[in-house]
Amino acid sequence: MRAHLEKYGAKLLSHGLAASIGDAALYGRDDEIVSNRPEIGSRTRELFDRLNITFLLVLTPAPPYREILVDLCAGGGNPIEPQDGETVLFLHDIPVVDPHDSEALRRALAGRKGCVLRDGRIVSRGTVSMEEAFVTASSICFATFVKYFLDFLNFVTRNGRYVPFSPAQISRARFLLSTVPPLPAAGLLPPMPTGTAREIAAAMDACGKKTVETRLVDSFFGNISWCDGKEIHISQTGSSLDELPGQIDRIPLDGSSTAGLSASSETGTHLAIYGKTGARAILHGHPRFSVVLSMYCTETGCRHDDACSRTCPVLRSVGGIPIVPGEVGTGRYALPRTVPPAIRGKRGVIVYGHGVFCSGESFPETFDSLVSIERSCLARYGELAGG
Amino acid sequence: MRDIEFAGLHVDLTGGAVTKETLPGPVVAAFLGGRGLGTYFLAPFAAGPFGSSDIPLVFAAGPLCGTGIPGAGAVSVISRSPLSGTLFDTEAVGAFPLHLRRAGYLYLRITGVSRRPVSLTIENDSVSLSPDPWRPEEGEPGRGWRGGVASIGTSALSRCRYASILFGGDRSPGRGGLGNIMAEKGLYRIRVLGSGDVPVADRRELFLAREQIQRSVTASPSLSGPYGIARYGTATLLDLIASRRMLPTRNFRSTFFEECRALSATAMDRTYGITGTGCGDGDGAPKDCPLLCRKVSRDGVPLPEADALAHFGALNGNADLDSVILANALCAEAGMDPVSAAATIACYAEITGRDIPSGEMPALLRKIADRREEGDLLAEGAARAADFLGSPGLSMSVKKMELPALDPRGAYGVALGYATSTRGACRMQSASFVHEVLRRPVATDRFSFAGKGRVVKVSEDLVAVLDSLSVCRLSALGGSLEGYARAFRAVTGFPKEAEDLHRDGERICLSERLFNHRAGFTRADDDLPARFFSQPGTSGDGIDIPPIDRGAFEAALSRYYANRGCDGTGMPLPETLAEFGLGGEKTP
Repeated sequence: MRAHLEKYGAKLLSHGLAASIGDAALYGRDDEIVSNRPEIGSRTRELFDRLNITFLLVLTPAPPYREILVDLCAGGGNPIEPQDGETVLFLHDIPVVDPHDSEALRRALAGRKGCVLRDGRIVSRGTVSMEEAFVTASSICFATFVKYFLDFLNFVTRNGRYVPFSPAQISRARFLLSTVPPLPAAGLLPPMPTGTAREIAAAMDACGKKTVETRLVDSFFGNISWCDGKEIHISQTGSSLDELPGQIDRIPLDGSSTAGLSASSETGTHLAIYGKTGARAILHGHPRFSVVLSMYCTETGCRHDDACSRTCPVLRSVGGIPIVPGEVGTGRYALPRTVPPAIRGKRGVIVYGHGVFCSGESFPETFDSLVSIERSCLARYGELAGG
Repeated sequence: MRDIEFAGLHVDLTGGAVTKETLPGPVVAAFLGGRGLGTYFLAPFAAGPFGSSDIPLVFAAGPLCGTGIPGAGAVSVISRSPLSGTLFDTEAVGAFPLHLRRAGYLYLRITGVSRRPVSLTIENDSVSLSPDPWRPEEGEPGRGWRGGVASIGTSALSRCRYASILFGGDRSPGRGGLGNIMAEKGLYRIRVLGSGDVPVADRRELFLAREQIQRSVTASPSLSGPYGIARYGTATLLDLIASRRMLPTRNFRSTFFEECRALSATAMDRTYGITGTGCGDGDGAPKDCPLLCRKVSRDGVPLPEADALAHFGALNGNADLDSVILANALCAEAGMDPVSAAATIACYAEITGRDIPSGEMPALLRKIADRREEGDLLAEGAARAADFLGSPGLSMSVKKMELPALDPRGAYGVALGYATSTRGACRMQSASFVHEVLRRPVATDRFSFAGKGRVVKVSEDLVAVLDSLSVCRLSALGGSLEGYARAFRAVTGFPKEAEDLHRDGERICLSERLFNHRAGFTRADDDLPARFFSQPGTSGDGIDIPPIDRGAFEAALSRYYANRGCDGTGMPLPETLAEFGLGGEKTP
């Protein structure tokens, strides 16, 4: 149990979600509660006693996430309601709780996977693994980052029903924007052989690790695959892009096995892309400004209120990269229907409120495409936000 | 928003009387419905002799049934199992639960025994209990009836210990032999037709909850992905289980079947053409099913689910898909649990040292259904048959119920869950395979007991909630408890959050454990067959399948008890019972 907690403490640091290990309190319970902290407070014990949880994470997030959370909490909205796809599907909304109100915290965690304290900390829970609490905290950071900068952009451009920002908030938003780390250069990922299954796995692993190391995406929110003409090799559902060894499924293209049942939830989209293009590699991630720009929409008079992510009929793009609607899974508006026709002849496609799919001949090509798309979105954001 | 009242019927077969009753609000608040409600009704009968005519047979839907929530169309059947001797719940889907709710009833509580075969007919407010000329040998218990039907099959007439109750004629609701109880009571069939609306406290909120749950189901690769259950049925699990080297083979002597590709869902699709039909298809019920997991061939032959496919196949060393499908169809026809039937035959084959050729399987199944020749012994189930034949160690059972198609050496949460399940070897009650194999909500280390004592307990509570709300266990692979809690609030008006429901699940699991303890079950029954601690599985493809470490298993079991609020024997502690208001049950 202790090793399990230590693993996720280290991941919080390496992913830039915590500035130091002292900012993360991790708790796990089998028969006794164990923690990376020397003492376990009575409030924590009470939460374990009163909630059916196995893991608990209390995180003081690293900049800029904490500042963003404090600002969003000060705005008075409770719960915080980001509209990106990850939140809608996974978090639903993010309750805000007074840090001194134990009962409110218990109630928030009774109904949601995680919540935010008004002082900018995140509290999240897990049932079967600390990974759930980690993913929830990471999702909250991602979703609130996207909401904050989308709100700011809408305000600056007076677009739609924007949220007002005070002069102090404007200064803070511009400062936080200036702290966004530079994007990696193209050509960082060297070519690797892909002749055997072992080589393919190594190439996928290198690409996944590089994508996370460079902070281009959060590790859990993405998937990657390779098509060798007979099989696709694809990351398993819930696997981390930076922990792929042993978590790659092989799916025969002749339909002779259903062992791909544990493959990524976006396997259908990957299969459809390979079916429509001559691509051999696909990389999917959720770079933040691509998601922000996908949701920045100046169309008016639309008749599909609240269904933009599923049914938007308008052809939009950023830097020549199409933005398409679509939802994970199957059905009329599913990604396997919307992404493949749009990606043909392009480096990639941005999915509304969700992320980016890049396809190409090699993993270095897809990695460079992801970098390039995010760079153009960040540049476009800067142009629009001015200042 | 308004609070909703729930009504049920008490059917006294001895006195021939049917009484409408209203369920007290606190009972719904504490036990929810479905499995929880059945547990509540059964609680006072733990100490009585098994086979007592007083023991109720309960059919209970949950409050979400019939409200349009995706997958919320199940009914729980609860009584004491003739196979395991434990309190037993089994879930069935189809038109029956939906019509029951539309007729205005949440449950049927059936007590006593009728001296002559009778049938219960419910058509909205009109309810009758009358002598029935229909006999299971005739088949088609729902002929000429537009609503839902539950009936016994021929194997229940012969008192096969794993005779099921059939819903809609050809559907086997599962395990545990509750068809036997229905036959014992002289109740041969129940027909129900409802045409009313299911009351809902807040329809707008229900709509939003439905959207939320549907999104999750659609996004679930296990359900809606290209290899998901919606496409192939649960048979799709077979290839995955085989790739993880945990496919029970030749009575669990190995964990990999060399010819498993012959049994793949894709092979079945190529040969038979898998077609999906859902709950209620063909019998006029609303279509709330997002999965259509009940698969038939293009010619309408019922196709086996994962456990039946694996057990008539790999567990019996049989790669003949045609014979597997025929065996499954024969079980459905006789109303016999195919998992117990196949596992009992595999056990018998190991004891006698003679594999049953696929060509002999149909005749043997008919003998079991009729209790003829060696079928009379095999109708007792693997544990009793192995005991009789002097080889009790060769029955791969827990609490006398045979293991399904996941080898416990390949997933330790599954192993612990088999042992702690209150109904016998059940992989569904702890659902550990969902995180250990299907990687949902996240993957856990399947070869470690670390944390599993707590995880199994929490997961059992969650499954108890879903069973009690009427959510089919497969649909729940996609949905989240937050979504179902929202739906529960919308339907009932009770202000419960997900965690409140989780606590109700804890109460239900404790109540079941208390029942079993009063019926004589102890820690010694929360155990796995010795084979799994002494013999390795079949390692390969870089996966090592060693025997389970007995000490680590026992330690995890102790941690499970501590988390469950039980003493070292598995008995709930007095303070735990007091905390949940249990232990002072009176006959309802």
